[in-house]
Amino acid sequence: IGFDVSEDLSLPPRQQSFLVDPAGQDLVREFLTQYFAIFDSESRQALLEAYHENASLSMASNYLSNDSRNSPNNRLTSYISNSRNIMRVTDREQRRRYLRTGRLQVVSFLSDLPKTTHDLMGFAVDLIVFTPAMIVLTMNGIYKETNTAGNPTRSFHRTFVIVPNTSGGFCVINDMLYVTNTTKEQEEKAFASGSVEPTPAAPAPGPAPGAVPGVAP
Amino acid sequence: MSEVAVKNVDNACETAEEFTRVFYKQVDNSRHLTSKLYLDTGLLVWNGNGINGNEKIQKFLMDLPASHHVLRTLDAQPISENLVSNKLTYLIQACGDVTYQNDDAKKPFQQTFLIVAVDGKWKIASDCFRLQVPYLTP
Repeated sequence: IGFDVSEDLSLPPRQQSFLVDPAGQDLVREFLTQYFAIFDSESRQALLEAYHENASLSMASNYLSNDSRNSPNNRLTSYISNSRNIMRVTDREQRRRYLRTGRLQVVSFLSDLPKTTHDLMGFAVDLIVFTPAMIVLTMNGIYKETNTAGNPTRSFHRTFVIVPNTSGGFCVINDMLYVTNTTKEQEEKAFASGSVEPTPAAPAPGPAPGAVPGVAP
Repeated sequence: MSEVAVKNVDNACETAEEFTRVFYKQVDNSRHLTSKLYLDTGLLVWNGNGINGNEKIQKFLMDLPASHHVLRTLDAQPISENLVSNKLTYLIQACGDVTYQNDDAKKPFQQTFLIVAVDGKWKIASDCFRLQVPYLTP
């Protein structure tokens, strides 16, 4: 004979996106589509216009714990060497140095990251602040490294603080990026919408080499 | 960067360390008190579910299974003060593993906080929690 203590301990179902204000939906979609079209192109220089002149960016990276996969594909060396994980980077001077400030420093840092194709359709996007002065949105998703042997997929979490710019558009003033390995489950569902398949393995009709990769609307 | 701006960067990092220490301890061990950490008008977005106001946040949190969070990665930046009505505001990203009651699997999570200094206390204006899982809804 047992006790009647059963409770429903399941987690609430997850949603792909949250909008604090539905009025922000088009702006967010447009901004991210344009931003990642440039980010995933041959050159990230054009992102200069997407950043505020006093923008800050930091990136932190870590391995998944409990991950026994040890192939070269899983190595995050190019990220970890620049990671501002303040649990490890404890010196003030170093913490300041790992924070990139100013549009030029930010874009030069981004330009040195591996070339990518993001799975835009698979993004989880949360718009958490939407006011005339400031927009804050977070993204969770995966991308593929396109110039790295084996085209590894990575998982990321990223927050943009966006402000209006002088020309009637918008720019990022804070950018915080976290990069880690994809889980098995994420890999199985990667690019599942089929709309942003970057691997050149199958000769599917796509953009010409050198052109901006097609980013789903 | 000016001297003030540099100090603010140091302070953002040190506040993030202290804040996350308090936050995860509350969530894991004293969850009934956690909503005190949020502004009255605070926002929690939990895996895409939005919960407004600290009373509702408290109720939502109480309905989640007991948890154990282990923080592994932390980062913080100051947000320009003129964006948030001259209140000191920090952006924090915290990443690690969480286990829930009756499920031994360690789940990787990522969480973004916007915290604001109000009357000498740090309060969460927005909290966005995501488990690291695929999100494409078919």
